[in-house]
Amino acid sequence: LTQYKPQKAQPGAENRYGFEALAWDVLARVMKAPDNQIDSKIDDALRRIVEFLNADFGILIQPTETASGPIQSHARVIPGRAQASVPAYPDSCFWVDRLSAGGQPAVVSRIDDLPPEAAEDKSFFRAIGVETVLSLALKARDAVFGAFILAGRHAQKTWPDEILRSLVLLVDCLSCALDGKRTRLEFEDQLRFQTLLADISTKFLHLAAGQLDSEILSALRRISESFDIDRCTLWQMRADRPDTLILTHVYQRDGASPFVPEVDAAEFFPWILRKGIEGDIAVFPRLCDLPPEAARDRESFGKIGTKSFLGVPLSVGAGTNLGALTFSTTRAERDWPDRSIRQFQLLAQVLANALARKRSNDALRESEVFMDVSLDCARAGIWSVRFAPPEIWLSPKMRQLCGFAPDEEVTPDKFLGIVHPDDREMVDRMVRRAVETTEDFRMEHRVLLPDGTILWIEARGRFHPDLTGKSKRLTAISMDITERKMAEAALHVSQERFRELVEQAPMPIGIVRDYEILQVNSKYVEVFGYQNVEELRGQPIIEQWAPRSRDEIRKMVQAYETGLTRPTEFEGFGLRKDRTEFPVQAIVTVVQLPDGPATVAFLRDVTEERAIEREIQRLRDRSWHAERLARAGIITVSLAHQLNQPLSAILSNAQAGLLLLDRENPDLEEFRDILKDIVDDDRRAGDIIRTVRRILPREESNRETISLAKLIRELIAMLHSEILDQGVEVDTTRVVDCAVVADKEQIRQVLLNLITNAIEAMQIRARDQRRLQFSVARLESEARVDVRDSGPGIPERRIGKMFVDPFRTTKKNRLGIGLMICSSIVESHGGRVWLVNNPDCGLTASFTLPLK
Amino acid sequence: MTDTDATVFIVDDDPSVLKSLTRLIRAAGWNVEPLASGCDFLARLPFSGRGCAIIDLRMPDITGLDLCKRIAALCPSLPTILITDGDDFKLRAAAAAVTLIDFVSKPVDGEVLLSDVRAALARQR
Repeated sequence: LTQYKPQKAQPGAENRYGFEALAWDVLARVMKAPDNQIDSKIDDALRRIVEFLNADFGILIQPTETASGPIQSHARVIPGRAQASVPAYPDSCFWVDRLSAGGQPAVVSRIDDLPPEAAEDKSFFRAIGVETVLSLALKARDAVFGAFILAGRHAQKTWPDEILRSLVLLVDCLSCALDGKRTRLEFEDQLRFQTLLADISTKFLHLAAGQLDSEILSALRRISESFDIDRCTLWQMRADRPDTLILTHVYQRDGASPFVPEVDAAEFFPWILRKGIEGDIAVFPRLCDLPPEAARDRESFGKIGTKSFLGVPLSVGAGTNLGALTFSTTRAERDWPDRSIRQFQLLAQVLANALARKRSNDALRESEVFMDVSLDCARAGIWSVRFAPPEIWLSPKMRQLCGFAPDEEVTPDKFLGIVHPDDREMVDRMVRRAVETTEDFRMEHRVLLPDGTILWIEARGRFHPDLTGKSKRLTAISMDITERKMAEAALHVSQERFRELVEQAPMPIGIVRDYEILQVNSKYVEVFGYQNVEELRGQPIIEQWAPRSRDEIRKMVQAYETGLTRPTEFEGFGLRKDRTEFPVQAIVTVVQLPDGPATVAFLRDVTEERAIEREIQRLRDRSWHAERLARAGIITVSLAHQLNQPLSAILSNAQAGLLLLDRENPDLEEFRDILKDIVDDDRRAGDIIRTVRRILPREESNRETISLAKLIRELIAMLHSEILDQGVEVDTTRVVDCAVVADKEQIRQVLLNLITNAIEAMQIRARDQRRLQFSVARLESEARVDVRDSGPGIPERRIGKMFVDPFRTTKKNRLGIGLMICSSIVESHGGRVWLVNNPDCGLTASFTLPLK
Repeated sequence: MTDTDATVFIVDDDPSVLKSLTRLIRAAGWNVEPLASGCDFLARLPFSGRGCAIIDLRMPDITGLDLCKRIAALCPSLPTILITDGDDFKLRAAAAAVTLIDFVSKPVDGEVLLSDVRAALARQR
């Protein structure tokens, strides 16, 4: 941070742009990454940011499920600048707390300036050799969930505002990506768990007496598979030995169980047993987390290869302990986050009640009543409806869920009445179908409670004969899935956030699917000259590009539509609504939207950059031209001066000779001398001219058959940007194809000179009055080319002198030299060049070339 | 018409031009003193008789303007005819401010030069 300035350049506009471009590139990469790659993409992003800003450290701090405080999830250290590894960030994190209030980047120039309450931060930073810190909050849904920290080894007072702004944007992007991932994982987890819970509960609801053991094993298997557990065991208390637990059910993932049936917990797991009997959970992510008093347990776990363990007591109602359910891993250690412990407890509850049922000597008359107890923790209840005569039974839990008093009289209509009005029709339909088909049904609907609360309910059940066998009932479990729906909504919010970021982006962004525009942001609307997004939505993407860029776009879109995922960059010409074109640079990548993947293009209008490049090119051309002119000028002056000498001598000698002849006795010797000197001076003049000719570059003439129309088209294409820039309207309707034998390069030079002269002459006209017209005509023995402009023309008295008196015009008027060059080229081809003022306005420069 | 007692100095570094001008002026009937450089001419001064000087503006040893200044200092009454490239208007103006000067453009037209010499000598008288 001592030199926050990027190494390559000063933080000027270009560099700001550089960082912004980096920010968007990072966003593009992070957004497109599947969840399991987001972390590595963020590592990569951190590296790029740290390197770009020339900082010493980049650290990302995020909470995890297991640790109570935040931990550092990503760290980047510039090699050689600090210790190779950064120790974990302390739990009591001052920075995250402080930042949650503001949301603005916090800069601490010197670690010593940190307040006393940040002592831990201070010692942490001291330990890794950090002197200055810039910290930004990671935020999602108005809550801070971590921090992004850039740190340096030397004191740093300030950061440029533009870098800070870009950093805020970038950190927003990272937050969005991390939050999206977190939300998706949470949602999937919720969904998986609730589905499992509902499935197992439903199984036990319709259970026949002899199926219990096999259903328990099947439940253990499903739990193992869903939660990636290697071994699930069920231990039960025997009636004759209430002081121990006996292993009754094992599911081992690889099939080979180390257990023999009827293992006594007291023998192998005394410590765990004590916990289980006391109704406590026992959990250790690693064997070494076991306390010293659990030495025997540790030994047993070691023998059976357990690496990580969770044990949950099985209990029904208050204090009735039936046994324990355990989950362990043998391949790797794992964490047991609070949330998943709660889920395992709920599963244990369901199993406990199934066991209670088996044990119960006096079978419960209504299995539903029993089941209802088991579903207590799951916020679920049971209901059963008979349609004729109408009668409904609700379990106490169901009454509670629906907001009915325990003794309140409920009719089927009243029960259906609490269904949210918007879902009622769907529920009616589903119920009718269940009755007709007698198949299992499953539906999700809302209920509207009298107090206005809305709950999401998942109902599963079947239309079946009742215990008497005389009539049929519709019996179902209804489970409160509001929490899962909230997670779903959160996921939606996270996607909304992405949409928001796209919308707020300072650069045009377009999202495409099936070759059509799905969404664009307002910057896109603005840059492409539209009024609103609706004009663009659903439009073919190809039409957003100039015809000359379309082939490339088509190929690219096709590549993405058929599965390309890596980001690509390209440059082309965008087409505004008013059909004008402008150069665009694009980074294209794929994102996952709720309804599937889509292609996203981050665009940049590079008109300005290209204009600057063009200006540089023009200056370069101009200096080349100036150099040529200067060279021609110097040669001309020198030629004039040198020729003046012999010419003066010749003239003086001749006039002296004439005077001599006027005398009465002309001195013939003198006269001979004079003539001899004249001859010498003439030779000298000839030598001078030959020398000058040697200095001038001799261009080899290379004659070939060329098409004038093609040449003109090529030149127009070559000068396209210039023509566009100057707003010149070009008309080539009068160009007919005509072949001549000529030196292509030389004729190109002639045309280029004439076009350049014309464009320059028209600069004094308003943009909409600049018209350049070409015509090529095939005459009897020659081709004639006219280049007609709408400029001011040339005064008639000068028009004739444009070619004959080039030396007078060299210093002020390059038109003269240009025309001279044209004239000499065309004449060397056997044609001629002339200028005519048009009757209306402007000048027409014409030349002829013999037909082949 | 010609003053045979008047001396015309011709100063030019180009031998063939010097020779041809000398021949021309001599043919017209004046005494000619050809000089190959500005310094040679300055060494020849002061000159108190009737006459004039024809000087090439471009010479390697001294600039035309400096030469004019020196002549103006040494013999203020000596008319000078400067042979120039024809477009050195600024130089002409500067030189004219210094002394009595006429200009002839290159390539030198003998008739023009002779009439200038005549006019210069008449002015001196």
